[in-house]
Amino acid sequence: MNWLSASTTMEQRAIKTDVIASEDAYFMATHVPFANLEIQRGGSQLITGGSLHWNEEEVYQRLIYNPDNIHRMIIVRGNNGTGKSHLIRWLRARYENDKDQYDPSQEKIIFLRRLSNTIRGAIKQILDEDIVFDPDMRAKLEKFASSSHDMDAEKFKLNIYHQFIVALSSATDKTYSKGVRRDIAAFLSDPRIEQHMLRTGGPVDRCFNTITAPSDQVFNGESTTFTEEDFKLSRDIKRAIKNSGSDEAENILGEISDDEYVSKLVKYLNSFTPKVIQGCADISSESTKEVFLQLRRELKKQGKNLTIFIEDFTAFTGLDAELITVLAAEHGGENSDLCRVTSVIGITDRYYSLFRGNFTDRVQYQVFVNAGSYGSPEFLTEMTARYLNAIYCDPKKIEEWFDNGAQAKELPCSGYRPEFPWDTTIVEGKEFTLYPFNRQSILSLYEALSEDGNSTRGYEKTPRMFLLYVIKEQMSRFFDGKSFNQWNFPSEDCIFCPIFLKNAGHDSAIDGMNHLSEADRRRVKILLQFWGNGTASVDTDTIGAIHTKYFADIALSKFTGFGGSSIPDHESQGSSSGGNEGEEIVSEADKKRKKNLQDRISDINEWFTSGTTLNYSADYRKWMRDFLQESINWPSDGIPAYIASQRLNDPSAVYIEGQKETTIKEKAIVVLERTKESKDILAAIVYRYYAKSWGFKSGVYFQLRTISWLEKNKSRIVSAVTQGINYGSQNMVLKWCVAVEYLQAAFLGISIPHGDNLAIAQKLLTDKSSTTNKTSRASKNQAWEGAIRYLSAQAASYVDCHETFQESLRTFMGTDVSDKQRKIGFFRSRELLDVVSTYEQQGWHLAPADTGKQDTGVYKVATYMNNLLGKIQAATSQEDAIALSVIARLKNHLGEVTEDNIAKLLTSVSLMFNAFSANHRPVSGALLSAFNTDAQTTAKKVVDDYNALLKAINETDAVTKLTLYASDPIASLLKFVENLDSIDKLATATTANIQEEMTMLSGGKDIKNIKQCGIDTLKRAHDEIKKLEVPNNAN
Amino acid sequence: MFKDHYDQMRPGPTPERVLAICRLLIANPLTEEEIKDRIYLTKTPATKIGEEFRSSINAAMELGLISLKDNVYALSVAPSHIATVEAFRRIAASRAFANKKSTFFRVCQWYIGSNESVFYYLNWEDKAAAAVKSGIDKTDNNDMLGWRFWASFLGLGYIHGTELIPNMYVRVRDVLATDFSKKFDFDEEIPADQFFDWLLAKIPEAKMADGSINLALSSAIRTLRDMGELAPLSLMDAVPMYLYHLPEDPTNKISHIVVKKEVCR
Repeated sequence: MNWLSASTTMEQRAIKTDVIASEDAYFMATHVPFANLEIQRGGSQLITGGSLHWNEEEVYQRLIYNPDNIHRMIIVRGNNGTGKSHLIRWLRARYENDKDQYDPSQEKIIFLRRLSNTIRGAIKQILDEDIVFDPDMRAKLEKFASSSHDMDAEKFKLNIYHQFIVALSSATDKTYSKGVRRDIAAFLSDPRIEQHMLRTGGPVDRCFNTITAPSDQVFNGESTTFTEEDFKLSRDIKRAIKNSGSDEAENILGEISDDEYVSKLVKYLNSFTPKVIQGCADISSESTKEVFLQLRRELKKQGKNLTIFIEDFTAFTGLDAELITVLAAEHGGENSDLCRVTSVIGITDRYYSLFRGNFTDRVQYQVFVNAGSYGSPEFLTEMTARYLNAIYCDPKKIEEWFDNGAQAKELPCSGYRPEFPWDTTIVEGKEFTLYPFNRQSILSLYEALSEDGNSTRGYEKTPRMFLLYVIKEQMSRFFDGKSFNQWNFPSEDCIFCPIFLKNAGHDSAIDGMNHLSEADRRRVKILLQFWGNGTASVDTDTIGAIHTKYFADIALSKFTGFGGSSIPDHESQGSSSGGNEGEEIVSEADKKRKKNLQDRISDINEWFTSGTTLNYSADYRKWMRDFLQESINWPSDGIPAYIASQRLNDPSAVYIEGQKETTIKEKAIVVLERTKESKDILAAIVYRYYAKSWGFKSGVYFQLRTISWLEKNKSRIVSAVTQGINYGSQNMVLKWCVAVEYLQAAFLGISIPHGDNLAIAQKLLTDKSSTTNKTSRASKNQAWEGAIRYLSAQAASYVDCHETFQESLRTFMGTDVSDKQRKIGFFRSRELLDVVSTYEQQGWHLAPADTGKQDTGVYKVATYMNNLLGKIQAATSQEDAIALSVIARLKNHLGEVTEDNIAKLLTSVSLMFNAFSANHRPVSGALLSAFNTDAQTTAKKVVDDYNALLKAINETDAVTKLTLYASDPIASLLKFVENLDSIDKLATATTANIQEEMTMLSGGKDIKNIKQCGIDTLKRAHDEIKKLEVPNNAN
Repeated sequence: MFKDHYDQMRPGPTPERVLAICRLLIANPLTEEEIKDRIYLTKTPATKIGEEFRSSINAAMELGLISLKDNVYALSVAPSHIATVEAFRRIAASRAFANKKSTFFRVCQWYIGSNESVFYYLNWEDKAAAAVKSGIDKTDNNDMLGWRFWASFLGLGYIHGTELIPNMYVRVRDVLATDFSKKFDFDEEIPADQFFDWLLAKIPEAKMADGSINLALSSAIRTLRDMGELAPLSLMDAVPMYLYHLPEDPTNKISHIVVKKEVCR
């Protein structure tokens, strides 16, 4: 096979850019008979169930061949590209070549093709058919047909625009009043509006294109000159009209803000398009009709009838109404001078809906070319086979065949076959190759022409699009490969569905084949997905159900697929196809589930291949977190399950590049970049989620990928979970927790039983959140009281710390730490006892933690601990000052603080109380009670308290100082001092009272002796007390 | 847990708990009461002590990690064996898989020998039923719940949901890291048959009656390869060994193996 020649044949003969323009010989050679055309009588809308189904030959025999000379107007309907033109062209060819039934002397056949899709092209064909008999008319049409070539385009456009204004001004209909029409004309004549309407892409441009568009422009719709958009004016234009426009123009400017008004105006202006075109051609509606009436009259005179085929009626914009009127006129009766006419007119469904009124009562038959006519596998396969055959065949053979009447049965066969078994199909009794396509690829590439649903991506699934964007597109690439060894076949340019193998494991494994280029990996995938069975499984002579030699044939011999062919049967052990077939599980579950799975797999593939945002990333991130939490044996890695759970419960723990949600990448525990490996991991967890098991198809492969990924990344994941903390013996978090409990206890006045590690551990593990300490201390230490208030305000922080402490020590069954049923107080106590032991040995010297500015997760414990440590300095300093002041006051009473001194003082106080009693002097009950103690015991306690305070004052370690002050030792000493102060006051006051009484009683002789006795006693007691007191200036 | 069949495999005595008990005995032997006080860190009434306590002590005893004499429990292994979780796993594995008659061993052997079939059973109860069918009578759901913690901990696979993904990477790596150099040299090519003969003697639970290499072990070899800790080779004219067939994977046939020093990291 000369591939270069074949390529040329395709480009220049078989599939031209303008499909319609292909040569007749190739048209006939590639035409696939329509086997199922829907037929309806009359011109009304399609009635469901009211139609007939004929093949194209039946249409020909029953409608086109018209020996009884029955007037027939037949419209062939269908959307763009469905094959209307093909059918009409074939019907014409069929008739012309029908030697038995076609008699040129009896029947005139006119075929108006869709050349250029323009009115100019249409008129040229009318002239070429030599059916214009009036010389004046012919001259005018010839002038018009050539004018748009010659005339300056700008002038032509200006002419079009003025024709619109003229048509509007001279209209007599009642859509608008004369005055309003005048205003509209004035508005359109405004130079700013004229400039706007003459802009590129504006209404005049559109009308101009309808008349003169270049021949390679595919005509996609019907003429729409004006649109609503044309009346959306810029501020500048509006301002200019307001400032300097005519009143009439300004009137309309005020109206066009109303959408309904604009809609009506657009429709109205568009109704002038035919008249404008006729005006441009300088022909009238009547003279246009006359052209065709003259033709019919002339044919009648010649004893002939007329069969007219019009490929695309939309090209006749401007003349269409006249043409329909003439063709609809039935011969006989008043029209006995006219010949019979059979007209076959191709129109799109949209055109029909816009101009239904022209057809409803005039059309005898409608032939519908729709998906039922061309969408079947048989149709597409035959179409492909015919085109490939035409491409591979010697052009001379095709031409010869055509010249000899193009008999279907005689269609030449290229005879080309690849050197290995390949799909063929039978066409006209001959075996045609489908190479390089196969049946599977033809159908799947057709389906891939557009996405499912309402997406606008892709092309309409029509024969024209199939021809251009499947057959021609792929063959061009194929020829490039064969001719120049530049292989881009198969191409994905016209594939509008994700490229992803049904066998996800194979898909992933191909991505990992580094011995193939990325482009070749892509080609392999397209091949396996569209030509093959969606797998890369190796079988006898095939890979993924495609012949192995085909891979070599298109330069993919390096790809050898996946299979067990090298394994002796007796040694082959199982295979990954075992286990539950994921798809089967899914399909059994329900369709919705399966669709959800497919949506997510497509989502991931698009994300990987096209760089799109993940639509379902919230799901993937959640499933990923679950997987990490369960699959890593956290205790085995020395991490408390609670810590792992806390960290992985945070939705931001997993970050995927291109995720939909906004989370901070730097704070994530796992980051999945847009890589093949990430794609595999995501696909794995999605398949597993929907299969509810790892036993889905290719599950073993994905297990391996996932576990290998997990192990490769485990240390990083563990480090991120633990925030870099080693949870081994003497781990920092446990130390922080213990410190928090210890400080909390100190501030709250909870005593810690030093010396017994187990007892300390138990005390520390006790929840202190319900313990409240009085905020006021005897010392009135404001800093300390502030610390107590801080504890109260930060109760939640403590609860968090305590939970971390308790739960990170607790043993769990599995990773579900929220399961209270399994929450047993079974602790890893050794770790706690070791930490307690260390602290005990170190005298609880607690140092602030270096958090490295981290304040999340377990670092919250460190932060709280640091905050507590920060409260100690102020609280203890103030406590020192208060303690020193109390000691000073004590010494003021006692001098040296010794048990003896205290005992002597207490004895004196006792004597004083006795004297008071004997002399009926009152002493408050509280004071009596305060000193109603055993002197030795009290003396010892005061000295102990004094020493405790001295120890606290002299302690240099802040935490130790805190614990020394924790039980508020100032309180009892202060009370004792205050009681001494009271005694002092009492004695002083009583002495003063007695002296006063003595003065009052100095005149009374009888009681003189009694009074003196009392005074003497009191004086002695007072002197005793005075002796014990340290003079104020003693220090 | 690790006694001859049939022995209940309760979920309570997890590896973490058994290790917690062993570690309490590092400093000095303790009575059961003393252990209890330390484990629960509170005076817990006997009625509130769950089965996890006694069965954890029993498991530690069955593994020969602790012993009881005159009502006092003492550590039976060197403290270094329980200094790290990794060391504990290795000593526990060597003891747990030593008794081939234990329910634990038999279930391990059945599970990893079942290859992909285990994925047919979507919950632990179904897996237990399948184990019974295979001849390990009396095994029930509760046994499987207890078994999974140890099977996963000792490195037979990875728990995810109600499945244990069979992949003995951790188990094989432990053996290679501790015992391989006693027999072979790192970074030297070893004939695959010799390697597997040696390895299967160390991990008897992975030995298949038909001489094949099961999925869990094959996956372990492939993961070791992916980790760069082992290189499987397929040399011409050498007698090959076949891993569990995985078409998408390049390593199915092995003639030689190179174990790299990195396995000891």
